[in-house]
Amino acid sequence: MSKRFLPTQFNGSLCRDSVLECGGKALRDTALGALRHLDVQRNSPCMTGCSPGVSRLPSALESGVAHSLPAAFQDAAATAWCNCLLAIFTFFLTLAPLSAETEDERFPPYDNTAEVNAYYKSKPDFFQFKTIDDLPKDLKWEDGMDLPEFSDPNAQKGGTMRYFQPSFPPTLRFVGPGANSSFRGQHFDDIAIYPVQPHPNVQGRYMPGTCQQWCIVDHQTVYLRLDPAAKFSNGDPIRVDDYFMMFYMMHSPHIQDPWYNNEFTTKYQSIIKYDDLTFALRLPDPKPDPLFYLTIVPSCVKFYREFGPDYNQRYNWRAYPSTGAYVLDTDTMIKGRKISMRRVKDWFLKDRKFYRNRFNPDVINYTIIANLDKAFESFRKGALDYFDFVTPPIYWYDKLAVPEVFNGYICKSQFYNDFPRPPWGVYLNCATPGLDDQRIRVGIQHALNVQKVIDIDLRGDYERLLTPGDGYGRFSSTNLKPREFSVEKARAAFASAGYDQLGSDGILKNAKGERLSFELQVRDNPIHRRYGLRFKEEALKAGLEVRIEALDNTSAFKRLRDKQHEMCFTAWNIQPPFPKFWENFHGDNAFEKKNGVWELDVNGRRKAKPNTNNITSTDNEALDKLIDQYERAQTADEIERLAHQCDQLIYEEASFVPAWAPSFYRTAYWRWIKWPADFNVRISDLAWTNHVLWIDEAEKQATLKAQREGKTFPAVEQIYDQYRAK
Amino acid sequence: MRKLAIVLLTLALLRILQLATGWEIPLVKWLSVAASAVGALGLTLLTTTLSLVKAAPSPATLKAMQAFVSGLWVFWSVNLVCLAALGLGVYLLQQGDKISWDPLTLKRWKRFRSLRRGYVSMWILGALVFIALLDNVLVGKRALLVKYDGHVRCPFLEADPIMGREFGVTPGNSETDYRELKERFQGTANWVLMPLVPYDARADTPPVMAHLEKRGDGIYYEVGEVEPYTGTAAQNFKEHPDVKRQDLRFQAGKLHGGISLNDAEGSPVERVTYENGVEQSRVKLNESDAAALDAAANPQFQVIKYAPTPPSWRHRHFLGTDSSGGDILAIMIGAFQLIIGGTLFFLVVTYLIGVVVGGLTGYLGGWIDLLAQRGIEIWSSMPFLYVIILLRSLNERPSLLFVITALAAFSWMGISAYMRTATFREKNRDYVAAARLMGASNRRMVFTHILPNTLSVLITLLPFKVDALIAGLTSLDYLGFGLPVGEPSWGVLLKDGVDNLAKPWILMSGFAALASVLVLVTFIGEAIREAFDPRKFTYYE
Repeated sequence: MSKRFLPTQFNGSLCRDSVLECGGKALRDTALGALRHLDVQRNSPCMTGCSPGVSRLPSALESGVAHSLPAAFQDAAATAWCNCLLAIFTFFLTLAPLSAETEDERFPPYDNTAEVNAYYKSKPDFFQFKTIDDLPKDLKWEDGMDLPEFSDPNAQKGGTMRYFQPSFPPTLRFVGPGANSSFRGQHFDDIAIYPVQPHPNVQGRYMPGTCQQWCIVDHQTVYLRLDPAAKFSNGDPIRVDDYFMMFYMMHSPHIQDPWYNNEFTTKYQSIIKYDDLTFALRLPDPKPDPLFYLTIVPSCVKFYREFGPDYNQRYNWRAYPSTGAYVLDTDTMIKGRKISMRRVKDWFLKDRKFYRNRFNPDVINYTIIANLDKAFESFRKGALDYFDFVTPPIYWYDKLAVPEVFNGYICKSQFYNDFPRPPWGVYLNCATPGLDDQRIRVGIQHALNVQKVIDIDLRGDYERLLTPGDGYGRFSSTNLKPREFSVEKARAAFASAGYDQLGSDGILKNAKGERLSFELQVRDNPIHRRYGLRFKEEALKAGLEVRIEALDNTSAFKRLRDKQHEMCFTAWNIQPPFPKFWENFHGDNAFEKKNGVWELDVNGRRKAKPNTNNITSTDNEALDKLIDQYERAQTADEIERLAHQCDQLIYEEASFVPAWAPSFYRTAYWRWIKWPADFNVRISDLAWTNHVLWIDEAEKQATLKAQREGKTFPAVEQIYDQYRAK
Repeated sequence: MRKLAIVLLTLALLRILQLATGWEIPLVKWLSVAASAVGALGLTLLTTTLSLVKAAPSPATLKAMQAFVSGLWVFWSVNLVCLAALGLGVYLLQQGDKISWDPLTLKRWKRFRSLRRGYVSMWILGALVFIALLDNVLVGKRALLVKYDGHVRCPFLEADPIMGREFGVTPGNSETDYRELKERFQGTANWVLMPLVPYDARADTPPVMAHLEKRGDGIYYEVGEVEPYTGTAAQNFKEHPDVKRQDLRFQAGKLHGGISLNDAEGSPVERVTYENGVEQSRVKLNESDAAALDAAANPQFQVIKYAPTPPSWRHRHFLGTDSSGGDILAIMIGAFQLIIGGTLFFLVVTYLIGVVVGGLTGYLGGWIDLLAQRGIEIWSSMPFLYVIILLRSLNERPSLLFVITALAAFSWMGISAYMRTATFREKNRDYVAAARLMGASNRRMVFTHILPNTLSVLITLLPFKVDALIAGLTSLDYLGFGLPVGEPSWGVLLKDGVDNLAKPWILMSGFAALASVLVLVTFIGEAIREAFDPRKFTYYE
């Protein structure tokens, strides 16, 4: 249910998974995560960073108006629409005190039991009801209890954690219009408990969640035994029926979320109930790691009894019963300003292995602060306990060079994690004249001085990305080194493609007098501009002209979708555990084909296929064959072998210039926020997502007192590199 | 007169010199720049008009037209201008003394000279413009003179870049880095003379390097600094300057934190941890000869001073660098050059449109006036900034020309309003009526009688238009809707300064440049206004 643990999406129709319908987690990766990790300013950096406001335009506007207008108008339309929504929202806010009573009138009591059961009956293949006697007898149950714990036994429960959100969530639902906001990660993805949870320190192993035991048969069917003590935050026990209810909801058109409709009908073949605590899930095909697909969160049958056509309105501001340690607190919520999560005091996993000593603060308060710099100042003043947008060097070195840090009140930590790296790099569009020549692409690989950007602009902190699928552990090639900056090699490659004459501006020309000049599309923010200018300045040495085109997100994204770019500095969204190839490098996504024949454009060139992730227009038969095999691969070894072969061919294609990735994240926090001795878990992309921190109230009082009295502590800057790739 | 003649003749002579030697002479270069700008604008207008009437030229024709503009057009238009300058210069030199000025003009000039503030401002501004026109004599990364193997060359005058190999740099197959060459030549018979500011305004952001030294107290300092060094440093290999032997971290002049030692390929061979200068742990990752590696490394610890760096005479960054490492003085001058060019173009366009529209409506009056005024009202009520931003986002490749044209399109209304009033007033004066009675044609009345008498209004307005343009251009750049990425601009400098308030030299430089030019122009404007004040010299009631 969370994008984070969804399998690789092999769906062709563009980047729907990563752009339009991305789950909360995916969105956070782009809109917020990127800010933290990827030294990019407010404009969301990944190309997937299409803002939710735009991607979620009402269909009428989206299909009728917005598409016929140029990008600039679309932006304006989106803004106007948002303003309009805001006005309506504000209007309703003023009515809020009155609406408490009228709400019931708008939403009369409703009972969907009959229609739910009818739906189950109508899909007997998907929803199967059997008895416990039908359960295979020879199942070998696993429980994962041999795995190590990762929380700190010294952790204390209690306290209020103060953090911020850039905007107020438009809904408290976790699915449906508006649910895909950046806040979804905080209240759902990081909190909800799946039947089994991936262990964050041991890759490929799982620990119990709502289920105590499980068993995988034929890589396709997973048998599960629920924890008898499992219950929702409202006290209702978690039973198999709640999982059935979840599938019913996800299949229903009432959620108005086609991505989920598709996901939950095609990615699962059937759910089988044996008794109240025993059930099985069957996948359509055998998969190397079927547990990975168990990203399902039960829907409390009692709570969703009124689920119907008006679900989106009826449930918009109702806090759903949580399976996790926290539940949304509607009592203290101030719309537009503040939202809180309350710890579930009698959570069923509270004292269990893997969950004890985690989820420690009693309350997590999120204040809405739209401006990042303002949030940073609030943090400096002590109004926020924690701030994790500090990975970019400018924050880490410059903005954090403040007395609060020198005096030891604010601590800094840098943690090397083991998480897939977003494939930042320069994507060369092979569909454009000039770039269709592999020799020129190789020349460009040697002419873009990535290392200098890393050394100077990123202060040597980041590491060069090796391949587009870097950071997936064994599935990533480590022997392929990206081509280094070299004027000689670049000029040799350009010369072999015919560009061997020097113009008076220092740019190479070919015999026809065509200049070696390409456009590089970057995001319109100071940091990306700087990268672009650095590339431009260095490429000039190799006789290549790089023209910088800085575009806002909407226009940048539109040009990429239409494949109008020549070179583009961007990145895609990523998810563990396997790298993706089909979307980004398969020929099916490169050019338009009708009945097996290429379609041609006005210039007689093959017509680029719009709306796909293959922005390099890579079209290589050998690679296509490998990718087809990769998709059908059923074992991890096979996947590893094919992934490495794909990496090799992509390297030879030279259509992707790997840039850089931080192999760490950085965090700044007040002294009273405490972490385990090894700081965090291996497979984490942010410090708080695994909830291992706690608040030390005594330390807080001591720090505040010291600050009042002008006493100082030694400055704390920790580097945790136990998971650093050697 | 004589002075003007000398200036014109110099220009013509420089052009002749340029044609004869093929040198890129700074002062004449501006004529080519202007000519190609006008040519490009003409081409754009032509193609836009053609595509509007559905007769868009084919790519081949377009290419041919572009080639014509950048080739023949620029060459001959510059030649013609210089020829005209030559002719005019010679004529003035011969006949200059016989030209008698209108006494009114002389009076105004005298009055202007007597207003010291404006007069001095004019000279200062003139000097600034001259400095900007000197271009890469003063500012640029190409050397003025290089002496190599007994020959002296002037790289800044040569049109084609000189490859490094011509000065003995290996492999040297990109343009010579003269700053590096200068260091390379130190202690040899060869030498390099760089411009005063040895940096370009565009795409020239070399990192500022410094070295560490260990002083008597055993603490590391940056050469020439008094505070112990805090930050990172690197030790490179002698043979491979790009490969780091070790990455060091210093806190208050002492080694602190994890350090990884690498071999000549750059792969780590050892990890050492320090705390306050004391070694805590040392882990060998593989068997390697540490002593040999140390011997192969450069003994100096190198420090990259990350941009923005403060003003420094040693590095010849007289006003420091901005946040991308560009030299601020070079950027300021580069931006001023753009502003000068932009201003001239802007004034021509706005005055042309303003005078024609204002003059016509004022002179013809009636229905034409009524309609034109309503049109102008509608046009001027358009939210200027939004329209510019909209146009900017529609145009994917904005240039200075585009931005200035867009600004001009919204700036002529004021001039036309003044012009209309002035024409209206003059038209109803007795002398115009008398001329009409005597049967003067419309043309004669407009050009001989009315236009010269509206001149004072137009000239008075001039400096304020310049002010408005500079401020407009800068604010558009500040907002990010101005010039293309990488072009020097005061607005970008200001924005950078505001984003880096802790580095005051950026904002101060940008602000000083903008404020001083605006003040100078305003002083000149005031003086002109006063010199042209009709209350002093008009005899009409």
